[in-house]
Amino acid sequence: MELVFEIGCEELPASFIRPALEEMKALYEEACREARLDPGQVEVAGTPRRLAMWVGGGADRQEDLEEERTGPPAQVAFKDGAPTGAAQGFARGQGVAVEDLYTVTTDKGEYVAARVFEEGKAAAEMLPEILTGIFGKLHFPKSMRWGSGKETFARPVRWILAVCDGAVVPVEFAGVKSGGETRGHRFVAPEARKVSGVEEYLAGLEEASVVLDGRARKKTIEASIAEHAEAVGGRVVEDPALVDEVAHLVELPLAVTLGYDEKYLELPREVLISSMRSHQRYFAVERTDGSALLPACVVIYNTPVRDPQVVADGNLRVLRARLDDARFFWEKDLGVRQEDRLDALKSVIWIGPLGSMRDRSARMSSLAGGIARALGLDEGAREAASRAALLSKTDLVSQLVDEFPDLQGVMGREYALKAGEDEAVAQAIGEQYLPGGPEDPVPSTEVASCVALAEKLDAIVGCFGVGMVPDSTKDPYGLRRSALGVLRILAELEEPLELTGLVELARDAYRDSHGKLEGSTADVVEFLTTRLHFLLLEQAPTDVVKAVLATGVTDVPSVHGRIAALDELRHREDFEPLALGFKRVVNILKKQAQGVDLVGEVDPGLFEDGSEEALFGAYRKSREALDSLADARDWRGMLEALIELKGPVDAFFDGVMVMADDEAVRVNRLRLLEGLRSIFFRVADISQVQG
Amino acid sequence: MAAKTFQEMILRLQNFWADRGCVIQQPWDVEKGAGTYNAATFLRALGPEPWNVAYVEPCRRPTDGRYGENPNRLGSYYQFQVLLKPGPDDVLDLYWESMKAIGIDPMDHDLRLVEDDWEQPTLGAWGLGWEVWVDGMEATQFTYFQQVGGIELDPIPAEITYGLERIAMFLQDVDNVYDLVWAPGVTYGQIRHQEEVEFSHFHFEDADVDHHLRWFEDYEANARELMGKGLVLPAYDFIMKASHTFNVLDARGAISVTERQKYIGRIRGLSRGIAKAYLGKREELGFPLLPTT
Repeated sequence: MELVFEIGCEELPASFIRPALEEMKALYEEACREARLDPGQVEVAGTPRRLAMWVGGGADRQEDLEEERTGPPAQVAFKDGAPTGAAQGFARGQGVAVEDLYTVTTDKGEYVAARVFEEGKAAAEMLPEILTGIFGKLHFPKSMRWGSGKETFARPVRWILAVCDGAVVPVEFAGVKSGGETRGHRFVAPEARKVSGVEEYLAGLEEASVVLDGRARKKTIEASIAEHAEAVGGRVVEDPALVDEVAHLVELPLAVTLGYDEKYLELPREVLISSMRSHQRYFAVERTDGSALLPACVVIYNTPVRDPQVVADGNLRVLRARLDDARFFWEKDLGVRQEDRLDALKSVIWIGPLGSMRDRSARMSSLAGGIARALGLDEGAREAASRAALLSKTDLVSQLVDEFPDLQGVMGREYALKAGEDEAVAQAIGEQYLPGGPEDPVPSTEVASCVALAEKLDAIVGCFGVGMVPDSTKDPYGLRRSALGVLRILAELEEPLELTGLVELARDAYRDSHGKLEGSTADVVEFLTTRLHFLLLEQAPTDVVKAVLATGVTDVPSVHGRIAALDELRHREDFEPLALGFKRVVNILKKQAQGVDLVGEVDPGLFEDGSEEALFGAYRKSREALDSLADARDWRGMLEALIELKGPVDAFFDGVMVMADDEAVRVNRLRLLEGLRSIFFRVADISQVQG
Repeated sequence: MAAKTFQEMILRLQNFWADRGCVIQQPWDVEKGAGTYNAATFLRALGPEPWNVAYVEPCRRPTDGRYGENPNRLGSYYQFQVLLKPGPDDVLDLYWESMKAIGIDPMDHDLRLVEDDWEQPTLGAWGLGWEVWVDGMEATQFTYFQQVGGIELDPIPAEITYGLERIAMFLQDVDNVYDLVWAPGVTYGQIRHQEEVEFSHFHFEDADVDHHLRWFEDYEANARELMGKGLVLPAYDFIMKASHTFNVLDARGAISVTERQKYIGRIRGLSRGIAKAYLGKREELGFPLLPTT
C-alpha cells in the first residue's frame, strides 16, 4: 500500500512545523496499530504551507480478528437447557448463531462464550477514518477558527491531498474535501497539480519550486549564506537557531547579500546583530577571524523574482531605517551620564512593593559586595562587584534597550566602557543575567558571579519577603529560573558558599528600606533546595539525591560532590549490606531513643561485648579520618571510610541486644549508634539509598 | 503599474475592494489609535451578520510623534482597513491581487507572511495572523479575529490593515515620509508636517494634564451612563474619547507605570461592556444585515 497525505495550509508559524510533523507521524502509526493495520514505512516533511506524510509498504488489509468473547453467566443464559433472551441477545450482538455458543469456566463461575471471527477490511476502507482523526488530534501551541467553521487548526486549512494506491481517500475537515491534487509555490506554481503516487508527489513539488524537506532547506541555506559571505570576504556570524527558523519561513530558499554603509560599524556589534536579526532575520557577516563585523548581511527570501537586485534594494532600505534608528538611539544614550541614569531609575517601578529600580540597584550593590567578601575576594574585586551591581540596571532607561529589550546588560556593559569604568565592572554588568537558561554559560569571572548572584537573590528574597511566592501555576517574575541560575553559579565557584548565609545576606540588604521582611530565611532556603533537588535529578536517581539532601547541607558544590561519590560507590557489593545496617541504626534511634539523652559521651566502661569495643574503636578512627577528608572535600574518600564500618556494625548487631535491660548499658549503646548516625550524615543518609 | 501618488494608491485600493463587494465606509469622526477602533470594525465584527467593508482611517499615536523630524515615525498617520466577515476561503489571493493593483507584483518582490499574533488588551481583543513583508518591509497586518470585547466571534472575520505611508514610500522609492507625493505637485510634508510639529508640542509639553485627567473621568462616566440607557453608539464614542485621552496623558508622561495598568483595565472594562451591549442591541433589532431567507 502506498499513501500520500498532505494538509495544505495558509502559512504556519515556523516553530509549529516540525513538532506537528512528528505528532502527525505518531498519530498515524498509533491509529494504524489500533486498527490492526501494519503502518509500513512512514515519512513526514513540511513547509510553512504544507504538512506532508507519505507511506510505503503499509499493509493492504487489516489483520483478521479471531477471539473469544464472554457473555452472560451460563445460568442466566440457559434455563433448563434452552437459551433465554440473554443468550439470544449476546449471540446476535457477536454475530454468531445461538447453537455456536459454548460455556467457559472463569474465576467467577460458568459463563457463556462465543468465538468470533472478523475478516480484515481493506486498508483503503480504514484510511478515511484514520486520516480524518489526525486533524482533530494534532496539537498546536495556539489554534484558531476561521470562516464560518467551528474546527480549529494552527492556520486555515485550504486543501487536503489524500491518495492511496492512485485513488483519492475521502477525508473532510472544516469543510475542505480531500482530492488528488497538491499546489506548488504560492506565486510560481499556484495551480492545482495532479498526484497519484509518492514519486510523482515528490518530483512534482520540486518542479513546482517547493523544497519539501526542512533539512534540505537548512542545508541549502547554510551553503548559500556561507557562499555569499565568502564572496564579500567574510564569514557568517554563526546562528543555528536563526538558520532553523528561516528554513521554516520559506518553501524555496534563495539568498541575496546586502551591503550597508561602513559608518554603522561604530555601533556595538550586538546592536548591529540585533537590528539585523530580531526584526529582519538577516544573517550578519564578520571578518574571517571573527574580530569585527563586515558591513554586509545575507537575506534569505522565498520567491525566484525577476530581478533579485530589486529584493536586495527593498531590504536594504528597511535595514538602513533600522540602523539609523539604532544609531540615533546610541548617540542619544551616549550623551547621558551614568549618574543621571541612576537617578532616572528612581521612577522605574520594578515590582510594586519592592520599590524602584534605584532601590534595587542599591541593595544589589551592597549584596554583591557582601558576596565578594564571603568569597574572600580582595578589596579591588569587592569594589568592582559593588560598583557593577550599582550600575547594572542603568541601561534600562536607555533608548536602545527600550528598542531592543534583549540587549539589556549588553548595553550596560557598552555604556560603562564608554564612561571609563573598569573592564571588570563592565564585564560584570554585561554578564549579570547569566545564566538565563539551561544552555547558557555561567558568568566568566568571580566579580561577575557576585553581581549575577546578587541580581537573582535580591529578586527571590524580595518576592518571598512580601508574600509573592511562586506556585505551580504562576511564577510571574521567573523566580524558579533565577533559583536555578543561583545554584549553577554556586556549583562552579571555587569557594563554597552556604545557601543559608547567602539568603541572610540578601535579606539584610532589605533592612534599610523594608525593615524585617515577611517569612523566614528557611522558607527561601527550602525553595532553593527544592530547585536543587530537581536540578540534581537530571544527574542522579531520586534516592541518591534524597540521601544527600537529607543531611541538610546547602553548600552546593559539596552536594554535587557527595552525589557523584554516592552514585558511584553505591554499586559496590559491600555497599548494600552497609546501607541495610545503617537503616537499622536509624530505625532503632527513631523508635527507641525518644526521651533518651543522646548527647553524652560513650562510656567504654559499660561495654559488655567485644563487638561494642570494636565498633567504638572503628567509629573513633573513622571520625578522625573524616575530619581531614572533609577538609580536603574528598567525598569519595569519606564514603570509603564509612564503608569500612560495615564489618564492625554487622558484628555489633550480631553480638549485642541494643535494648538491654540495664538502662545505663542501653543508653550507652544508643549513644554509640547516635555517634555513628552523625558521622554518616556528614556524607549522606544512606539508609535512603536503594542500593 | 505602480501607483505614483499617495492618493492614487488609496483610490486603487478603494476601487479594488469596492469591486469585490465591500462597502466603502468613511473614517469614524472621533480620534482613535487604529482603524480597528472604527465601529465598522470593532462593533461590526461581533455577531452573526455578514459584513464586508473597506475604508481609510486616520490614526493618532501621540507617543510616536517626533516633531516632524524623523523620516519614518509619525504621531498620526493613515491606515487602509478591510474587514471581511466571514473571511472568504480565497482571502489571501484577494490580498495579493490588491497588492498587484497598486503595483506590487509577487514575481518582482519577495512577499511573505510572517507569524504575528495580534492582541489589544484595551479592546479585550485578540487574533492570529501575520505581518506581510514586502522585500523585508512590514506592509500589512493580516489578522483572523478570534475575540473582540471579550466575546468569541462567530463567524470569524479577516482583518487586513495596510500601512499606507510605508507602502507609498516603497512604491515611490523615497526615504523620508514627508517627501511622498500625495497628489501631483503636492507632497505629504506640505500637507501634514505642520500638524506633526504642533501636535508633538501639544502631546509632549502643552496638553493640560489636569483637564485631561478630568476628561477621562467624565468620558468614562458618560460612557457608562449611556450604556445603561441602551444608547450604544453614543456610549462607544465616549469610550474612544476616553481611550484617546489616556493616550495623550501617556505621551505627556503624566501616568506612572502602576497607574497605567489601572487605566488600561478601566478602558478594557468599558470595551467589554460595549461589546455585550452592542450585540444585545443588534439581536433586539433582529440582526438587520442577515440575509432574509
